[in-house]
Amino acid sequence: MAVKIRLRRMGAKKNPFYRVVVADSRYPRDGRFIEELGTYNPLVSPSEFKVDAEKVQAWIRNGAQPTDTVKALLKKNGVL
Amino acid sequence: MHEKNLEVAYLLDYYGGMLTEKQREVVDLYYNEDLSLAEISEHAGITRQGVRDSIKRGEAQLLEMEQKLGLMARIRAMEQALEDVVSLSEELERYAADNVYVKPLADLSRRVREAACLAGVRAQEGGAANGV
Repeated sequence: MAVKIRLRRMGAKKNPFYRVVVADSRYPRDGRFIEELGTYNPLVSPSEFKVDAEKVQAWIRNGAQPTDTVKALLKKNGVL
Repeated sequence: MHEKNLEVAYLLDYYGGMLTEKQREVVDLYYNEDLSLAEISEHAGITRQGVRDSIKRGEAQLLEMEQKLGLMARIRAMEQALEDVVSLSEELERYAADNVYVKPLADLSRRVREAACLAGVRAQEGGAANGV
């Protein structure tokens, strides 16, 4: 099955904060993920996006699919 | 490729209770778990188009709520104001600490700041909670 690089919301109510994680697309809800690659904080402006670029590239080489949202963030931050 | 508007995730925090449970679930999966429409349709057992319609309808409802009630904008403005209160009281406290004549002010401004921190959802502690 597909392995995805996606955002996962952490943070509190009314205080969103995201982690960038590698996860199996089958289990969106059970909190399981393979690896954490970074964080995304949309609250501060400009929004703060931190990832381990090498790991991201390695995962993508191995066939992990970033979601559109993650892809856009990666592009904007020059990782892809 | 169209970027998800993560503002909707905030709106869901404020007005999520106004959506039906199914609708909320779908919007939540889409924005908070960052699933694609196809993935959600697999999980929810409805068609991709059904998922899309449901999300769009939910979004429209949330936006309408905000337009009519304006809770989010109001609370944000309040939080901004509280942050100003906190930083100004810090300044005042520093000033008072250096000046014998206004010493009592230091204590007062500390209490002002504590009150503001308590009221502020994320003025201070919220930032720390983010780090978890």
